[in-house]
Amino acid sequence: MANDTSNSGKAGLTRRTVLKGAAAVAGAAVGSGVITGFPTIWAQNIKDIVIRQMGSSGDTNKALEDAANADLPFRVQVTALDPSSVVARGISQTDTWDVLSDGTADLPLFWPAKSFQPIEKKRLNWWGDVSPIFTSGRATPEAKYGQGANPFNVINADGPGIDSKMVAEETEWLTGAPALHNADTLGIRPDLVGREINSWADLLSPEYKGRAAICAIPSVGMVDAAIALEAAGLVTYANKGNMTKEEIDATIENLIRLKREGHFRAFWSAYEESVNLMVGGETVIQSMWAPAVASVRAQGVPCVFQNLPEGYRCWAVALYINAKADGLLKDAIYEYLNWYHEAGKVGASFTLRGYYSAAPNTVRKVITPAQWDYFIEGKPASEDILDANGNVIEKTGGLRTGGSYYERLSNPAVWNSIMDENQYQIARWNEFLAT
Amino acid sequence: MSGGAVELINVTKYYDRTLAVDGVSLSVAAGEYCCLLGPSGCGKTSTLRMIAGHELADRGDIVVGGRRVNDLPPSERGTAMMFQSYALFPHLTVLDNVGFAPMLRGVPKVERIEESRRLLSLVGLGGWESRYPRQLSGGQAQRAALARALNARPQVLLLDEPLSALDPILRIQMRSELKRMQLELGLTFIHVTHSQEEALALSDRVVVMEDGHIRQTGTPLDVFERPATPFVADFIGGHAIFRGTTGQPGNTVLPSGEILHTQTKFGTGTPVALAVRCDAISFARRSADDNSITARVVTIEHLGALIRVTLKTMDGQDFSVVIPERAERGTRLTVSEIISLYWTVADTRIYAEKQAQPKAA
Amino acid sequence: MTDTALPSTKTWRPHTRGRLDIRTLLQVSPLWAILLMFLVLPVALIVLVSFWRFSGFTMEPGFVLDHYRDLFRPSTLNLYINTLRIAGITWLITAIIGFTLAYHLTFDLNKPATVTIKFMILTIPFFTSAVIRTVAWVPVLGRNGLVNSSLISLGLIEEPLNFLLYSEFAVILAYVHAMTGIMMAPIFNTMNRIDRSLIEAARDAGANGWQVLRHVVLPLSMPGIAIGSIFVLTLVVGDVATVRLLGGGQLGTVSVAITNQSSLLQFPIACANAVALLAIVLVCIAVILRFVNIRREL
Repeated sequence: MANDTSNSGKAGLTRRTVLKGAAAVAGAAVGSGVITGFPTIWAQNIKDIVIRQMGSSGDTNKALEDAANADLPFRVQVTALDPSSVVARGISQTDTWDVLSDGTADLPLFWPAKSFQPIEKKRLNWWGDVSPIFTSGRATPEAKYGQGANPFNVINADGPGIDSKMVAEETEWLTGAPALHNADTLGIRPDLVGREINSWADLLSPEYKGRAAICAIPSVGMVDAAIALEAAGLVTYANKGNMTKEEIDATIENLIRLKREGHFRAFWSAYEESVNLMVGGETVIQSMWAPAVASVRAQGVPCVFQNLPEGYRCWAVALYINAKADGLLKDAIYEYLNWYHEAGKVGASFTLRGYYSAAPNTVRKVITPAQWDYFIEGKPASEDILDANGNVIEKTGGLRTGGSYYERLSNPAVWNSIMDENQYQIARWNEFLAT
Repeated sequence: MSGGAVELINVTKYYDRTLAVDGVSLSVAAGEYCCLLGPSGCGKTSTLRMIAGHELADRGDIVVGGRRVNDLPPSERGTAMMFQSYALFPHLTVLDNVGFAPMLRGVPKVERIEESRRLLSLVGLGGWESRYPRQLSGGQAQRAALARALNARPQVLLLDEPLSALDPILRIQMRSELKRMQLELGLTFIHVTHSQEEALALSDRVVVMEDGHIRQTGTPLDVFERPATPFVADFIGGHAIFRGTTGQPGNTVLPSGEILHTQTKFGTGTPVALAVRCDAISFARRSADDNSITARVVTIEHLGALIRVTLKTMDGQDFSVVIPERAERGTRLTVSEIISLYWTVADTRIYAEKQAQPKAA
Repeated sequence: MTDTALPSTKTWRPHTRGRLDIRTLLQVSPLWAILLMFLVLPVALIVLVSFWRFSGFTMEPGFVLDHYRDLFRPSTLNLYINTLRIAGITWLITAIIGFTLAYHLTFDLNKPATVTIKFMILTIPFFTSAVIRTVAWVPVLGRNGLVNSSLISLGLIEEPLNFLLYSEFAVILAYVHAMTGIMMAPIFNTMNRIDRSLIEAARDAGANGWQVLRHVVLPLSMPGIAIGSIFVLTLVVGDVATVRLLGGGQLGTVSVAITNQSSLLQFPIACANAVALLAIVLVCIAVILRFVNIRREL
């Protein structure tokens, strides 16, 4: 009953704004429906629906809002938050969003809050195009499964209810609709590192003292550090995605030693900071995210997202539906989720920034063949490669290290995870900062 | 403690380009009570502050106790100042306020406290040592300020309108205490005031200032009986001033056409001011060659044994007379009545208008 | 007579000390309601949650002191020492500079127009956003930044100085830059109200410049210094952005730790830290108020 009142209340609120230009809106809705080839027969009041998506700016942004509102007969409204507050607000203020966008790694944190409803796989028209990672945990049958929270471990729900459990097997229901994913590695300044970089261990090499950086978000930065420490032979881990207290201790002690030596120039907490570090020449080697590398290159500064034998730190982001959404709103959300990948635009914008859509094939019809070859197939650029803003990010003949989508995603060292010992992990991380 | 003489030689002070004190020369003897009297803006406070060292003289010399002090800081001039608002330190107790100067000199605490207590009981503030200034009444604050100034062991105490913040009854009481204190201590006091009553009551020497100049210096009696200029006569009070023009020798013609007999000092046609002491004017003609004037009664003020009558001459000049109450009973004045007033030629002082006057000694 | 007189005495009865009538309660109730909703309730909630149990992924109501016990681990104490050291150094520098600037504005300048213009110049930085002001330090202090490249081209150093950026130095520099004005304004306000004759009285008593400062100006400026100190202390202790942006993520303060804990929903632990930090700040403020009477300034 509470759901009904909240929905009708919302509809009433939006109706006021819509009434003013109802004809225009209706016309636009019908028109855009025709143009994009989406169903044109909607219940008359679907245009009053507003879907509020909350997430972090990487995938929940104005561009998404504009694209969705241009194509869909209802409204999509986005709220971008600092990544560290998405989960907290997601479960503490469930009235403020209808769709939440967050990393699958956080699912063990927020799924038990019972604020989400499982998604029916059969209602997602693009499920056939989804990356095999979400149906088997592996990009190719031969791919590594990787340590940590492989999305396949958490993306299936064992039933339709809000108290369903996450299971590592294919079911009819999803905890969230996969949106995007990627494989992160080290970014380097090829003009300044002075040699071949061929191991995560190079992040810790004394020759880069004072010019290296890692991510300051503890759950990410510690895994970056662990991959490097293991590569350098300093620490061995059973599972870098779920460390024991002893492994956490060993990692932190090494980090404290490196900090005392002044090895790290900085720990960055937002990807813009990592861009500034690279562009400003503060660092020459650091853990990085794909759009940051693209952003450095777009400024004309050479930067390579270096493929390394130890593999990648991989992650995935999915969209989750509020448990309270039902009726028309729920139908609209499913339409939105279908549009999200079927139209290909959203995935294309991810691709051009160096991420991968969760359904990579759907972007093919939107980007140029040269872009497809360069980003997905890992082939040399057959022409100058432009990003979504028209900046040249690769000259003809340039090549991304690490190969095709399948090659990259076949080599996950660790999937982003929330460790069982996360309380101890944060306590020690804070201690490391305080040293 | 004993007093020191103060001498000002041609002292001049400008604020930006405004001349505040113009070549003032003055000598105050040791142990004298000297009042600088004048309306606001006359330069009396600037003169005092130059003696204190809170303003620097642009020209001229300031000598205190035989030393030229122009370039000395305030505390080395042998002067101490009592400020108009008393300037007690709000964050210090009365005792610490009084002991401020010795504290700066590094006098041991015990000694300091003893001396401060002594001074406080001298000014009648014994028992108030641990109060803060905000807990004191106006009179008490003034006593505390006096004790503090005395603790700087000055030869010369400089007082800037010390009584102006007090109510009339307290003012008269403090006035006599200041005088008593000065006599007891034998210090030189230089006291700035705009109240002629205060100046006449306190001073050994009154200095009347106007527009940055000294107009007259003398004992209160000198100044009162023989004002050097119509301004002094007017400001010191107790004088009726009539303005007119000299006529035939021995005569001054008022705008109303009335003719007054005066000494012949100036040529015919000179604009002059005549000053007559208010108490020299009577309603009855006592001698045939008395001066007389016709005037309309404006107000009648009963001051007890005396009555002050303000009047307006036929040509509109205001003046007042003071007569014994008993005399008025005989005449029965009423407001708006037109009456004649009389005084002797000897009581008539004549001044040329708008001309620098030679200073009377 | 009595009939008409009675209601009027009821309505116009003067307030008696210590007795609350219904009208007074009604008049203050909006304030109380706001304070209750936006101050008392949230703080109470924080205190409450700080005693809850936390197990890896979830928290549950309870009453455990574990999170408070953890505060006394040497590593956690380090966070507090760091926070207080940074706040202390910032406070000292801003107090000295703020006092000096206020003194200059109050006593060195004669023309009110000059005072206004200089005050504006000193406060204009506060018209830009705090984040922009902070980020603007990066190109100044970086390895290839203004300072380093100037020093290198002057031949004073050969290698860029790393400590300039992403260091405690950079954080404190940014704090001092951001907060000197906040410190200066209340000091200026207090100092400006010092009766000039008090300074002349001190001079008259033989005080030299230093003694005037020590015995008159400083004690009479204390309320302003106290208010400024409270502002600076609370702002520094509560800041996360500056530490993140200029500390290079290698600097730990209690607020950063609280942020890290909250990001993984470790709310009970974060709350315990918040309560402890709040208690420390309140003690500092209490100590300041114990010695300085600021009520006259408010």
